[in-house]
Amino acid sequence: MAELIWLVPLLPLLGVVINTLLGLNDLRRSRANAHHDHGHDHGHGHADAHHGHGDNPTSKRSGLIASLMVGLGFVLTLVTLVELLGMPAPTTLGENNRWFDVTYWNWMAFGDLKIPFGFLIDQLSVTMMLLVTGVGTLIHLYAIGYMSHDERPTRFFVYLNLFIVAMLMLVMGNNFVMLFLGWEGVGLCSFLLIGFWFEQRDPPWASVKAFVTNRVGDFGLLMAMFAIYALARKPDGTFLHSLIFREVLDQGTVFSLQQYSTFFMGTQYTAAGAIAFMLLLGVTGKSAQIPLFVWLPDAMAGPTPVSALIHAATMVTAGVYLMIRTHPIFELAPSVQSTVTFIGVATALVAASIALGQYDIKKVLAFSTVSQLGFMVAAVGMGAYVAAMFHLLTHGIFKALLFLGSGSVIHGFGNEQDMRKMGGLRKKMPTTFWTYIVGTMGLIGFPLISGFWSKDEIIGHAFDHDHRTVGILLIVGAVLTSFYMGRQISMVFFGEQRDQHIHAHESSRWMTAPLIGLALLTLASGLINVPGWHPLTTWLEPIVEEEAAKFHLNIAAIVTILGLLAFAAGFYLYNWAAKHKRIKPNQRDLLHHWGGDFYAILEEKWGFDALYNAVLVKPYKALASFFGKFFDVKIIDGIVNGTAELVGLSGRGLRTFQSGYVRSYALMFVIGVVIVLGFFALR
Amino acid sequence: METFLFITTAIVAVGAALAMVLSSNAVHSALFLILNFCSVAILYFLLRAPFLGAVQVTVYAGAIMVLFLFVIMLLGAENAELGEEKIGWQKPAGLILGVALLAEIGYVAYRGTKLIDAPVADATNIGAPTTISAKLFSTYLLPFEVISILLLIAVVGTVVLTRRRVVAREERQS
Amino acid sequence: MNDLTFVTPEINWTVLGMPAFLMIWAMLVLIVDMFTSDRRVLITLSLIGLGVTAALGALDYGSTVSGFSDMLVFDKFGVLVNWILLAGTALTLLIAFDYMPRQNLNQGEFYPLVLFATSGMLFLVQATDLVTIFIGVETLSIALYVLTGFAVPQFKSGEAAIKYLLLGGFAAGFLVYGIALIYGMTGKTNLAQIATELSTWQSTGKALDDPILLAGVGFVLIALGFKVSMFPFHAWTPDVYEGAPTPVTAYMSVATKGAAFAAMLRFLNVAFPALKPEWQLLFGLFAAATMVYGNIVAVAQSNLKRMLAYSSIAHAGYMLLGVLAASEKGISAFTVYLLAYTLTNLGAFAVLIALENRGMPVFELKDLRGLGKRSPLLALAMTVFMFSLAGVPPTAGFASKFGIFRAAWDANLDYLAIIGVITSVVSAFFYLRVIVTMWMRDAEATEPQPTYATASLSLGVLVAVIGIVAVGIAPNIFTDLAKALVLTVAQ
Repeated sequence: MAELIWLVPLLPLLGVVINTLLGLNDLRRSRANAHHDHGHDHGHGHADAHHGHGDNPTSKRSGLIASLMVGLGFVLTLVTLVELLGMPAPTTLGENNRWFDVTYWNWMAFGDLKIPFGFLIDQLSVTMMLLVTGVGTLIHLYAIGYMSHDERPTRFFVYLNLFIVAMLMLVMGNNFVMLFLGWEGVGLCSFLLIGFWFEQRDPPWASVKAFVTNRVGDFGLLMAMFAIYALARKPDGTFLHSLIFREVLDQGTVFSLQQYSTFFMGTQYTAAGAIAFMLLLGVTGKSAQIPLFVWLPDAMAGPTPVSALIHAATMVTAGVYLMIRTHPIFELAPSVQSTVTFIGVATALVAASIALGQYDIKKVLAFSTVSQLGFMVAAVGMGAYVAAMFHLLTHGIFKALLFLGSGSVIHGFGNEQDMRKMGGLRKKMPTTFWTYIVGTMGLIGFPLISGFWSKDEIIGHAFDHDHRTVGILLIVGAVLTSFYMGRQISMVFFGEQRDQHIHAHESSRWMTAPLIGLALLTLASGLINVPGWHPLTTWLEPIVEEEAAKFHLNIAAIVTILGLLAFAAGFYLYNWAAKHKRIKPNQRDLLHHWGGDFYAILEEKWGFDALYNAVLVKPYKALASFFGKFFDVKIIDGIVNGTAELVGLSGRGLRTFQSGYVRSYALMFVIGVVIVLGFFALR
Repeated sequence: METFLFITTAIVAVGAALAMVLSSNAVHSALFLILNFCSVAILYFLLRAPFLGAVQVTVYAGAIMVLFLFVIMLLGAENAELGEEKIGWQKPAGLILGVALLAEIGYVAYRGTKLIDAPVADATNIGAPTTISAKLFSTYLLPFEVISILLLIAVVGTVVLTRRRVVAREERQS
Repeated sequence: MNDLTFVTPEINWTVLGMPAFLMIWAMLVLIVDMFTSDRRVLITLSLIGLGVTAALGALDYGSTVSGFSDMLVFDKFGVLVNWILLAGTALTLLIAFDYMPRQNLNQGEFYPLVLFATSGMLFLVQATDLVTIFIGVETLSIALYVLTGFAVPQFKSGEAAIKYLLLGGFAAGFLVYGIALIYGMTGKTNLAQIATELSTWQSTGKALDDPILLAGVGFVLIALGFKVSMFPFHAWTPDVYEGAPTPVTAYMSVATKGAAFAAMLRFLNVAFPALKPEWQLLFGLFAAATMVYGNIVAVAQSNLKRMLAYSSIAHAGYMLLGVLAASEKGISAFTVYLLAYTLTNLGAFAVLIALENRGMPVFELKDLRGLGKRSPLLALAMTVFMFSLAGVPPTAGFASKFGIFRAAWDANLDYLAIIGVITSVVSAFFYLRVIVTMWMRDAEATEPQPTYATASLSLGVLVAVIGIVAVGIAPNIFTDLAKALVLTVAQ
């Protein structure tokens, strides 16, 4: 199987090629048709274009091709898993036999730096691959139904497959540059998919916001790569000059990062600290942590399968993957580790609180995702890598389920996303309702279901390793989570439908079948690392060198009871409100009535967007236009007259550059000369 | 004597250059430029480079400047209209920068070590036509030949730009 | 008069081959142009000439020969840069082929003039003497002044030419002044001999940082910086780029920069490695200012040509990093960057050319609206170009930026590498804006504007796209060539 591992990313790539060709063919044919019946409306500028027409047959065709490719990838990954399991299990701590590293060609070479194009297949990457291809397949199938009324399903599936390719590059690459290739690739696909419905007002700018915010994080990752290249040494003290995981993360090499310190812009840091900090910046971008989380909620402007696949299950977990992959570096930098924990906890709390103030069904889930990512990041910061990975997996499944469920609601509720207009949908959409309940149980940690185990493992680890404050704060986060989920379930599925104009209906089988599949997975996923057996810990142990977490009945009981109480509180509060007609479209929340301005802060997302707008975006634009106007005065149109003769010596022409422009350019030139001469003369 | 001659000529050269820039009458400017060229030619003679000096007078002060004057008078552009100064701070800024540049150059010249002495032995005939031609056709043959290409490009360019205008005018008339 | 010793110089055709052949070929094309006005003949001839010139470089590739009193050199670096310039010229001719007649600029002199300019560039790239550097700069400049004014009945074109000429003359003055000062201090014009002279200074204890010598170095760098539009000597760039016919703009934005940077590399690394701390510091600051200024001001532009002009200023800043790193890595990274930038920028301008109607005075961003629907392939190509300019993997732009920043970081110019990465993050904004406009905005006009994706232009775009993707996926193919590029220090 090791010889065939390249097929896993290649198959979706093949899907991209096939669907692109089919799409181009369609385009040509539709052009020919448009030629025949002229006058037919050929623009699609109207807002609800993606549901404007009847069923689009290309959705099924392209979707099946795309799903098949990802599904085959999943099967191949399973085979690889079995093969890795067949390799001898490690006998001593720190030993690892279950991996292979294949290099296909030398991708880049700059001087002594060689960057291979190759894959590192080990326990960690196979786990990620299973999530990407497995959940990916289900979401692809779901999208066939979801995009069935859309105008451009083929393009959608091309992007979706391309995303899978990039994500696989990210987790399979055997060096930092390959990881970066995937990292940028998923960012690119995310950009394309968020802006997929570009006829509408928000998506294009949401996509730009996502891309630019992510580039800030990418900056950190790139810098970390340079620093690793420049600083890492072999145990004998000579420079390593490599970016390959197995060489850089080798024990002796990594240790060198602590021994040597670097002067970086005038201050001294240990190399490990500097690198870990820059990696962290990359993580905050991709995994939507404070301060760079602002793009993720806006990213919900994309189609719902995208939100489920990219912005909940896979891409946003890339940061967590990166930190686990490079954990030896983080462990040498305790101060950065505590920063990681702090950021994770803060994000978990802030995002969970913002979720209370959202009316859009998807925005609630978006902030919930940010918050749960905060849990994972906090876990990594504390050194609970297995717990983080466990939560990453369970969250990937149940959050995908919740997003797909919300998509089903939106799809069946006339594309309305405002929860204040919904209500009582459990009777109209029974399948969606029950699967949504399962997903919610996973998220709030209902006993014995996925989130119960994984969340508890994180909190338990906090108490076990003297992070008491962290543990308590995370419990608060979990309570908030339960509350907003109770609120959401009540507002969407119970009571009476508040906007009677919309005809609600259950979604098609294409959409409900993956929901059921994911619901079953959610119910079972707790087994991945159930206490007492903990297969995930055993599996990942050679990589993270971590002992199995203990199960704390008392903590689990407290978290669960508090959580269920909060859920009940949220649920009954909003049921009561609905009964007394206190929830109306375009009316603010009940909590605003009681909480006043504090609630308004939640609605405004703690002012992050406004702050960035005021502090970064506006001054930047002002600066740009200032430079543009000040240095680059455009010639007034009146002077630029098409009939004017050659500038030469004719009066008008002469005036053009006599009135100052060439002169001012020369003036700038002389400023430069004065600087150069002054610098050289007066030093 | 030599020093006196140098200082006088240098002052005349600089003064003529300034006057050329500051004069608002194009013909006056051109005449000042001729004066400048001539004084530079004298400097060449002082440096024992008679050939360069002679070339300076015949080619620049003679041929090229006469052509300049012809063009100016033909176009009747003796008095250039100076457009209004649109950017008020520009003149003072230019003045300040000019003074700063001058001060810096002065300082550099003052601080810098003396320029190396020219090879005195050759000084007598370094500027003689034979020496120059010998250098030009042996060591500097390549630059010399490439300059001919440069001039060819300039000629082609001039033709292209002017013929274009003639064609355009004819099109408009017809 | 003492007796005259006339030494007939040895003509070394290996050294002279590339520029000389192209000069002669350009004259040939000029003559053919008198007899036929069929532009197909002219472009075919020109492309053949470019091909043969490139082949001449391949003949002795790998060897290092110096000739003409060491004024000109034939080495790996020179040949590689020359190949990139030749490829850029060929692409320029392809994208200009249908544009010029469409704009009523169907004069045959266009082709020989472009070839002359390129031959000047080849000459400059191979120059190892201050005299030949000056002549190379002037040869290419004069041809470019004319090309800028090629659309002369249009007011902007003439204005741009005059502006370029005036400021170019100004810069040439500094070049000569700088050369004179350096000659005055060292008595040499040959780059390698200057280095030798400076090392004897060192051994005799004479201070190297003599202000006059430094001023000379500074002036030469100013003049070359003007050619590559380095801040603050960049001011001519937007106006000239906007006024010149678009293919000429495309040509100028890549080829001039390449040649002038190559000369700068030789000038700094061969003649003045001893003064490295001095020029690295000052021109490092200029590089930083160039990157920041170009990228920030580009945001405020709604005119596409001006936007690309500022973007080219920014890219000059990035290339300057490779030059200032002054290391083997820096030189090879610069070469790769030049290739990537040449392909990308020419491609981007080619797309603009495909959309430019006759007499359209300005080309605004909003004119791109709905391009994704009107001609998806063109829009797709533009998307590739924009991503490459922004440095998104797996395009050539990423691989080359990566190399440049890493070289800078290695050369202890870490602050420059950081500024470079930050500004390239910023640049993503305005490159992305183009993509968003093309794919996600519908055209306002009910009457769709025609596109002129003719065969030759499409060929040019296709070559550029393939090149960008190839360099992005397997930059090795080229970096292997560019590896171990040590500038020849003769003697």
